Amino acid sequence: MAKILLVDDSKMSRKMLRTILEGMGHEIVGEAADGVEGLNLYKELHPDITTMDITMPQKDGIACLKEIKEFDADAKVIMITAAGQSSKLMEALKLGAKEFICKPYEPEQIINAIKEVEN
Amino acid sequence: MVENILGNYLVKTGKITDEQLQAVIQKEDETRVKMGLLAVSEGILTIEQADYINGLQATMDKRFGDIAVEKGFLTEDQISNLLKKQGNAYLTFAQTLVNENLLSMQELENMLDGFQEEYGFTKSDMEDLRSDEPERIVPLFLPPEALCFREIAGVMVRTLIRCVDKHVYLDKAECTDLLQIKKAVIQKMEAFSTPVEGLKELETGFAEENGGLFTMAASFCKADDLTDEDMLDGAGEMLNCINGLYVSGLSRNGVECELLPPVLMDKETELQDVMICKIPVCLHDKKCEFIMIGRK
Repeated sequence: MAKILLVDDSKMSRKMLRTILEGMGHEIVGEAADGVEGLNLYKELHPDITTMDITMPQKDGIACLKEIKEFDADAKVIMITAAGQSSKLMEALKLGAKEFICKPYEPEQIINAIKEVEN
Repeated sequence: MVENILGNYLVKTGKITDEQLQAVIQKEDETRVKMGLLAVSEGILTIEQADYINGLQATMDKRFGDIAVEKGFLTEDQISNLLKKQGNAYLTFAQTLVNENLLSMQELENMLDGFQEEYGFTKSDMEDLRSDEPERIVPLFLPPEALCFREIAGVMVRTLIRCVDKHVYLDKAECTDLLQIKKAVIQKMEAFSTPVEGLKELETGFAEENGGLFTMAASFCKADDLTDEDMLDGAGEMLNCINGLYVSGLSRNGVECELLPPVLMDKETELQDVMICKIPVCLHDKKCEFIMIGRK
């Protein structure tokens, strides 16, 4: 089972994700409420998978993804965001995001994306 | 939505009780078959296709039928036939009221006349209301000067119907230049690349009225042990989803803008701007306000 880091400025959003992922048997190794904290926790915890929101204070998810990929080119990051503009999608995929899920999502989308990334 | 708008008018005018209204709505829910189920039972969609569309619908601001056509599963004619078979929500509501001996046909007509007069609706407005289509109902509740908000208000209603409560309904909106709020969450959509409905910038929010914000957050987050902070955070996430769907739709039409993080407000605050519109959002007996602030 994977070690997962959650990066999202909404505590309730992280809680909902945690419920789905722990239900799959995964371990949530850390939670970050913005991109700065997300990058620091990534460097410290070396998670197998990171879920990343985009619209966050201080450092947004795109900037955080970029810096995580600079630190670890093999990082597996799944964008889970309400900011579903095509420009954001293209930018995230170009920077190496593995999946891009728009909020509001169905739990099955998260489950499938995690399985896809794990494989 | 139409059953709650008219049903609550019946409750307000003392024609039926709230318990009777809830029983009628429950009966209507049992009678009215969902589009996906109907299409599967008609043999024109597989269960897998219906589930696939339902999954997409949860994340897109589109109707079941529109997605089915877009994906090439069904034709416009098939959708039209399914809608006929599904029946109109207003007619089902009216029929249930009469069948349950709560109102006679004449009393129903009188009620509609009274409602039309109280809300200042035209005959055509009443047809829009009876259609039960959010995109036709939302503009009825916006003052003329606030029609520039019809799209975002429509996305809000459709998203709440999908993610919070399918029986959500609206009351008449008001425009102001000064708004006092206590517990609220506000999010800014910064600088549209080209003006949208004459607006260069838009902010939206939800403000607590009488428990509606808590009900919305609890239902969206599937948790009922929320602190005030959790409630605002959950409402902020709901707002983020609504605005995300709205700006995603704009980006498909070539308009780009930045969505800033929602700002949570837990003490009395005054909002002052050129055009503020607040529309009451009702979730059964609880209410919150959807706030729209436009800048030209």
